[in-house]
Amino acid sequence: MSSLDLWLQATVNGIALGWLYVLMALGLTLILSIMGILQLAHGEIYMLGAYAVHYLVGRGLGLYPAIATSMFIMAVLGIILERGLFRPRSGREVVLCSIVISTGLTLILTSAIVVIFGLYTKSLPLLATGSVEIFGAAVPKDRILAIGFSVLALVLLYLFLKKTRLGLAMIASAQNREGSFLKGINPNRMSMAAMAIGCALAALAGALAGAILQLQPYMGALPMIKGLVIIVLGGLGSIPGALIGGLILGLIDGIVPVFFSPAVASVGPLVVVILVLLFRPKGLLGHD
Amino acid sequence: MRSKRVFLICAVLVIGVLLFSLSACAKEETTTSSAPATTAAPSTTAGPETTAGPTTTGAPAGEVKTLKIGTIMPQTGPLAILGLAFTRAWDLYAEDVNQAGGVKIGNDTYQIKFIHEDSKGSAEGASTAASKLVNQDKVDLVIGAILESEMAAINQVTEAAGVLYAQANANIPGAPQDVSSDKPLQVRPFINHDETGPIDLDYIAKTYPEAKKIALSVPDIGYEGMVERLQAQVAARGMQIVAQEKWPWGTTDFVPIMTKLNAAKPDIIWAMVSGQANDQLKAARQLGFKGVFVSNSPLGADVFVVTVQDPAALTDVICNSVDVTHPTPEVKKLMDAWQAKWPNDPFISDAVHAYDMPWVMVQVMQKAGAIGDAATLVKTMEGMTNPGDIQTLHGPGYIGGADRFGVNRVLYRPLPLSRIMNGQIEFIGFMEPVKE
Amino acid sequence: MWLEVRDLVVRYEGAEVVKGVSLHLEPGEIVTLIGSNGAGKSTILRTLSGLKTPAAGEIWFEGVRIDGQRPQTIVKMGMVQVPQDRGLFPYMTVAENLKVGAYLRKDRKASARDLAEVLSHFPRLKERARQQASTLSGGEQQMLAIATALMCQPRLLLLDEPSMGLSPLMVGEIAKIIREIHEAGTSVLLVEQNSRLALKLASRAYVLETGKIVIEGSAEELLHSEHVRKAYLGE
Ligand SMILES: Nc1ncnc2c1ncn2[C@@H]1O[C@H](COP(=O)(O)OP(=O)(O)OP(=O)(O)O)[C@@H](O)[C@H]1O
Ligand SMILES: [Mg+2]
Repeated sequence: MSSLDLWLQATVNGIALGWLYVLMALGLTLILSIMGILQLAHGEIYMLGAYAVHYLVGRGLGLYPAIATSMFIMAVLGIILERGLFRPRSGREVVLCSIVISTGLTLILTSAIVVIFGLYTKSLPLLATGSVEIFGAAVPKDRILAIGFSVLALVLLYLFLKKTRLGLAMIASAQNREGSFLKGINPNRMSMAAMAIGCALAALAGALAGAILQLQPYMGALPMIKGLVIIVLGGLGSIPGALIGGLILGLIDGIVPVFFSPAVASVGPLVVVILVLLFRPKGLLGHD
Repeated sequence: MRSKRVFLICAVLVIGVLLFSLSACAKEETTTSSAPATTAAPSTTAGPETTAGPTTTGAPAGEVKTLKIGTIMPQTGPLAILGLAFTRAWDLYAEDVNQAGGVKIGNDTYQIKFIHEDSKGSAEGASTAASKLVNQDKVDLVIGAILESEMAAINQVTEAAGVLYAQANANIPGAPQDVSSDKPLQVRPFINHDETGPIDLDYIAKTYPEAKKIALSVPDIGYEGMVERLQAQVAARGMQIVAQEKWPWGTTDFVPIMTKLNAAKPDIIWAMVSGQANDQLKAARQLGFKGVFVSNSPLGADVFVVTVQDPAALTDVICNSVDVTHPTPEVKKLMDAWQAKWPNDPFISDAVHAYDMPWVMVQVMQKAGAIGDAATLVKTMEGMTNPGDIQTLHGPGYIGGADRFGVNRVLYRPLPLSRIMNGQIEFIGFMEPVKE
Repeated sequence: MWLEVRDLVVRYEGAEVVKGVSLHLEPGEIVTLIGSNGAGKSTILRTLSGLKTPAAGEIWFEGVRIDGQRPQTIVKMGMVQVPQDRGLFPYMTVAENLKVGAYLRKDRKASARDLAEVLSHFPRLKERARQQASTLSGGEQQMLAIATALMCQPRLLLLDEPSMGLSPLMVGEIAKIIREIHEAGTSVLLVEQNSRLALKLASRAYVLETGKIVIEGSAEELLHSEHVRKAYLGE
């Protein structure tokens, strides 16, 4: 096998992983910039999204309708969490409270899944089996499909944010909270929308990852960390930043283990984050 | 600005978590056992247990006493699934023995009582648990631990207290924490993972005579010694290892590893002991690997079928696990008992090894004629080296290990071998460990 | 009375910043509130807009009591503020900022019409419709801030120091715009440090000193007041 093939396989895999990270980071960055909170249980929403698909598929639903349903359920859950837990109340320190609450939520959701589904590793139907030949290299079909769905989700999100009234209001609220109040924008509604969209994206990422890899109650921790790294890397609240940060991390995970070693790959993000923080503290594409 | 503060917190958290995960990698913690899957367990036919377990001794004679066995397993955290499987198997063993009226050791009949403690997957947790079992519960025997660090912590406590310790795992046979002459009261009623190597190689030589080139996938947790042994075994059969890749513990995406292994154009991809052999198979096949795939791990063949799904990928796969789709009557009985008790949870094949552990230790006590003195028990165990001296769910076994570890304190017993072809599991049989 | 503030008290962390202010405004008026730095002018506007809850006192608008109401409720009633920091969305384009201004308009067609209408008053903004707001000059940013507020269809516009940091030329232009807005039927409550400008635009005025109204009257009267001339007009 030529090294071109290796590069190709490694790159496609890296991009597929990268897109899953992008989906996570987008949700986190929306929530962070609109609500001003760190939702540390976002990884558990990812995990719940995957388990919801597992459950629905077990009930006889097809994989794709199940993914769509799971996204919807997680969006509703996001709204419930916003209203029930994260909505600011007077006399509460928002940032600190959100960290405490969401850390607790992480434990609760993980335990709930352990109780309901057990500790057993579960799996979802495959997105696709086998591979396609690209320039003579076998590239797994499921990765390509995962990339496709993620790109589609991002395009839809972008159109929503840029072209709809609610989307513009969300960006506005992220950029200037008080300014948005003075335009009659209801911050609670923006928070709800951010949680709904963020959770739906996490559910999609979880479902795709579940179909590519497998499901277990602790699966949310890693993508959550990747998501945070990406936000720091790409810049808070920046969608292009999340995209670039996610792809950088994905490519590190896809390519470095092949050409160097997995150990180097696990150090990679740390090095990149430190470099970025040293030379561009606001992130690659972050605003001041 | 609030978001700026959040951003800072975020950055600090990220760096902290990354550093933490790095240091965790460095600690090389691990587990070996099969990470279990969605296996719909084979449909149970039998009702509840009707006959007593394999250890029955008939009517009680003498005084009825209690044999207290303390167990230490991770009951919380990512390894909890193994803790669950093991302790359930032990409870089923105790039930079998006690329902049959107990087990006769010397002149007394003993009821078995397990006291389960949570190691929380950490050395500190294991140490605390061991102290409690030894000092407070005054157990006669301690069994347990998945991680090497837990084993060391337990032995420190049990040895000082003069209590026998049976380790329940050996991720790395011959590791400093494994049985050895400098740990006088530690034994291992659990076979070396790598005893499957020669069995698999012989089977491949016979079934796929053309296959010579092996690519090794190795979890990066101190398997160097095992790899060396395998290399010698491979060379002895005129085969060769053409590529070797180490992956860090916690890897979930195996496409990069398999991309690299596949680039060496191997005839065989050999996944060394890990719970993720199924993910490795999936990745290898998706990258176009068409050769033989060896799962050198306890991961059930049925787990491969359920998780990999694609029949084209599930071909020429060799498994070394207990095949729950072709159980022996003894294993079947255990599975039925499990299903009767926990109908919603699929059976985990690790329970079969686990069940053997207290049973082996009870056989040692029976041979010694007493549950008492730990040093005597170790001596007795060291003498049970003839095939058939020990009964297990896998068939007759014996105690060995002197050639590798300097002491005869390790269980040897037959190992199951299966092959998956077109998504169908073929059970090849129980194979005697090969001495070489 | 259309807008009435009665004995308003506002505190920041216990410190009383507004100490019993009463003022009122009738439809069609331009009223100005002048005072030096830290007098509490912005605080009063923020309280009117619902960004701050008063410690005591009442605010009535069109016969409805609005103190303590949420900002969006007050915007919906037609009282819209251009804050001192301009309240723009810096990384959105000019056109997007204006669209956000029309957030409360559910009627897409009508808001598109409004957009065209508002832009026709601000030719400078029209040229820069696709430019990012943060890259506009200070004067252009102030224009955008006012234009965005106009997209909310205010009946009462609260302006917080619109002339701040602008060149005299630009100040003139902003003054012209304020007059045009007023002529088009919108009432204005103007907070200014540029007292001369404010008294020229307004019909009535209040002078605020350390949280208290010390003088009120017609703009004409204040222009001739000794105190105002000394303290605020630098004569
Ligand atoms: N968020 C706040 N927290 C604490 N004190 C505040 C806050 N905002 C304003 N203040 C204080 O309230 C007082 C009045 O402030 P305000 O902004 O209303 O003054 P102003 O009249 O608008 O002044 P300027 O002309 O400089 O804008 C000042 O002493 C200020 O320090
Ligand atoms: Mg002010």
